[in-house]
Amino acid sequence: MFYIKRRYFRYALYALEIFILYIIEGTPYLIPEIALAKPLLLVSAAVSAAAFELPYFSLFFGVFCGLVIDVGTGGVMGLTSILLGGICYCVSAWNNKYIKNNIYLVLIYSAAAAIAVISLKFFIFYFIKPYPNPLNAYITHYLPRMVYTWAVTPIIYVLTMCVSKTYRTDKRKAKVKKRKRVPHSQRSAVSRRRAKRA
Amino acid sequence: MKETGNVKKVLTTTLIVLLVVSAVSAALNKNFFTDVYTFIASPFQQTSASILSEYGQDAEKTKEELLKENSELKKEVNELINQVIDYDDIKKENEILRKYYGIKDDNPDYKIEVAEVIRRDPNDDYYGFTINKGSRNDVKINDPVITENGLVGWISDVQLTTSRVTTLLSPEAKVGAMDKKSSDSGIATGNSSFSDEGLLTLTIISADNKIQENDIVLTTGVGGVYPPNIVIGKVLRLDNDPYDTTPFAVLKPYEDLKSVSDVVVITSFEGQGVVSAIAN
Repeated sequence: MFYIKRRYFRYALYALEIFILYIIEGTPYLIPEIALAKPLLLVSAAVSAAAFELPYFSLFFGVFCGLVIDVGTGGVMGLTSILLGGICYCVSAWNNKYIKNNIYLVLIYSAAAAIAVISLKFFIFYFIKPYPNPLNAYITHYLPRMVYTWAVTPIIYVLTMCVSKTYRTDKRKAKVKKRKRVPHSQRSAVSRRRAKRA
Repeated sequence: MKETGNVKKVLTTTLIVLLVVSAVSAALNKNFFTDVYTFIASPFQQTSASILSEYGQDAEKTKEELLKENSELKKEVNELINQVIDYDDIKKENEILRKYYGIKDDNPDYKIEVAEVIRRDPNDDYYGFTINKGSRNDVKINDPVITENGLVGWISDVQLTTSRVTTLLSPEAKVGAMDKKSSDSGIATGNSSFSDEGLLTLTIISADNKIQENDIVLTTGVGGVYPPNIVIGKVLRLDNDPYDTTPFAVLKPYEDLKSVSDVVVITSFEGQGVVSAIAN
């Protein structure tokens, strides 16, 4: 029960992190523009959290971040959520099953997520609406935005790592009992030989 | 096995819920989540935006500019040091009120709402922004947004306490416009080739137009979306489309649409929603 409570505290911290990043990324003049672009901090946050958490939670975290991005952009609600939720679920499942988490992997995930989420908007605006000069827009606006989003990932990763480590009970540590140290005289002949070799 | 089944259930449910939300938001152009979220977030955004509105602009200046500005400011501080502590604030507030009530004086039929920019979305290519006035303040979709220097854009989305403004730099902008001097009319619209420089274009103008550089371009009021005779900008140059050689004019708005921080929403004006011929 205590474990569940601690976990919910951590989730609340994630929600707070999203909220703060949402405010920061939209506040005029707070983040400097580079090549006319500003980063999408929530994409990096979603991917970073997915790297630390279980697939279920990552899915909902991605969906929530996507909804908040849609709120900020003012487009059709839900499309970014579906995409980001899917990406986060895959990242988390992959990380939990096959690979140990590290910053380099998160940078790769973040690049993929930034390309997918930002290109989705490009696709909607320049192929469905459609706005003129798609190539020019992609080069001048979308590519710099992707690169900037990717570039801020390490900062967001560290922040998210701090959040993910807060209120986390390591079950394995709690379960594994400390082995009793056996005096040398009571050890078996085999273990004595092993100790000698060592 | 059980876990895989649960995952499938959760994924399916989530997908269905999101598709329903998308469909409803697309159909009604409105959704509850946005209302709730913006209602919670807007006070925080307003606070952070107001803190940085004065100081943040300095972040983009060079060191020399900042040093020069600093020395000028020091002189100014010396001049003002004997005056009342909050004199500047009061003066600034008075100036804002005066300039916007000047608009009201010139156009008694306008109902205006003074608003502050609280958010600039990093995912917006055409410098759209969010203001701190919403449906609670009678702001509606398509209401024109102006400053004392001219037209800025229109309200493209309204929440309870906030609204989104799409600027004239967007290709979605279609404003009936005319040259004040020559009376040539056309459509003022954004173009991605010019929007980065803060410029827009006057298109669908006749081949034998008499438009000249530095001419002032105003709204016509046709369509009933924008009031007539609001300044859009001045003609920077005339050009021809590289593909079909049709002429167009490049306009420079008097207001810097990329960094505007205070605006006025015209919530009501004479002739709003009335489609009419060109009004002079």
